[in-house]
Amino acid sequence: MGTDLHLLTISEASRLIAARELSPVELTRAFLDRMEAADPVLHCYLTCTAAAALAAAQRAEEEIAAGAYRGAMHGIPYAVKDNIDCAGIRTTGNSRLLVDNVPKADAAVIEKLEAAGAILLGKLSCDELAHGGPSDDLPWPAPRNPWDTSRIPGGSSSGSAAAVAGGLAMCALGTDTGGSVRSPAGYCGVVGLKATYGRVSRRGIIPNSFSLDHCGPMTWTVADAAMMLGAVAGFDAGDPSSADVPVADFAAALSGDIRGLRIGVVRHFYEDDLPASPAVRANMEVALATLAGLGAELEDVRMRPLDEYAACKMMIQMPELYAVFEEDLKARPESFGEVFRYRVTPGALVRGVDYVQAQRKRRLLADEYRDLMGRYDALVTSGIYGPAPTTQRFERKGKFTKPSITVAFSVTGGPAVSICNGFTDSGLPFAMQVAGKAFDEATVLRVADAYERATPWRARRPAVA
Amino acid sequence: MADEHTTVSAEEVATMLRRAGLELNPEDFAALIDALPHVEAKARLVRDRISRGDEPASTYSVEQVD
Repeated sequence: MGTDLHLLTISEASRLIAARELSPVELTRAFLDRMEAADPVLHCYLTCTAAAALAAAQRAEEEIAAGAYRGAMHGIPYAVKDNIDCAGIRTTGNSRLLVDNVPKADAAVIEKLEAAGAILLGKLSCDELAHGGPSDDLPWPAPRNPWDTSRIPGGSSSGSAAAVAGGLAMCALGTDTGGSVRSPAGYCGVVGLKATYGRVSRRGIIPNSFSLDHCGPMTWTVADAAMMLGAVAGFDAGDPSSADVPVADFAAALSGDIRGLRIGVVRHFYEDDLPASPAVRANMEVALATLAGLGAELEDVRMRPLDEYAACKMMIQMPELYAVFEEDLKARPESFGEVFRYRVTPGALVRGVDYVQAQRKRRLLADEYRDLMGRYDALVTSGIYGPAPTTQRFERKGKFTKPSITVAFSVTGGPAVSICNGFTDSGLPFAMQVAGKAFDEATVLRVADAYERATPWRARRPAVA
Repeated sequence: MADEHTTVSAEEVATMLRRAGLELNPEDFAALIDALPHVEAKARLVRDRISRGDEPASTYSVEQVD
């Protein structure tokens, strides 16, 4: 095989592995080499499990040679955000609090990927405990954006997005409470999928907000996200929020044909509620024209202003997050970074009645969303307000003052994917979200895949290292 | 947390923190005072848009919605 194995997609690699034209060991070595070359610049990994990865790849190779091919993820190297438990492997959430934490059991998503024969490369950096934001007082340096290393990759699944964009992992898992898969995916030009609340088990994932936490795939292509979701989705009695809903063949839904689909355009999110940069807005028009050209029927729709979703999310998340870490915040506050403390401490003062009202509000917003989705097959809106900021421009207060453009689908619980929809003149990714009906990830992915196939953006890779 | 009729002073915040059993260093206390108005605004936004006749609170799950 050639020297660019780290640029293969899951779709490409799995075909070659199944045909025994690509060795999982050779593929795993390619990613370990890539890590060695690029991670000193990008700082994606907190822990690399090279020896275990090579041993697992060897086992996969032998199984496949013996005719026991398990499916699309067999022999595929992946990595996970460091708030996801892996048995016997340090799992820290990039916090001094948990720097020596070694779980005894795998998270449910790890169990599923192991059962599918995937190869764990290591644990990926993130904002502290999926909430803190990049800061200099964390145990490891913050990841950099592969498209421009003076810029942040976004968060909180920062290492996951940067690793996939930089070719340091073929695919990764992130977690998303208010946009932590989709936002960094947008800044790094990769695919980030938040499936429906309850679709993917959170058992064994360090909690942020019980009511809002999701876990989802981050990949180079939509087809890869469909494959990875197929591997990790499904009911788990060990997660009280897990939904006992049949898991579709998501990859099989990617027909490339979206003719006649009704797509609502949530324009006010990025034009009125928090106006995006002129370049983002102009680029969205081009993307919408592409979807129309593919035969979709587009129509502007209105949801509530983003502020309402953001307020609801914050009043649920802050006390839930504070509740998880209250004991440690009282006993050992110095174990947390300054940005995390800034963002979590107000949770101590949220009134019980405000939390309850926010849960009631969430019900209303989810009901409205269900009614809206009775009229549309999917929604589209921007995935970012502007390209990734420089490291100097990160603002800890932003969490309180600027509603994330991803938050509406976090609160309503429907599936949403962020995909690359072009580049700025200076080569930074733009992003678009496609959202859908509860448990209809298949249609969301179908729309995103059709757009991806019709555009040239997946041919461009960052030049880092 | 303040309701719509009051503004919480730094002294009152300190009292609330004591009741919550949380001690902050001066820098973190100043940061909290900086953050609280934003959080209070969010709480008001939620409160102002929900009324007695709206749905009761319930444990959220998409299965119930769908």
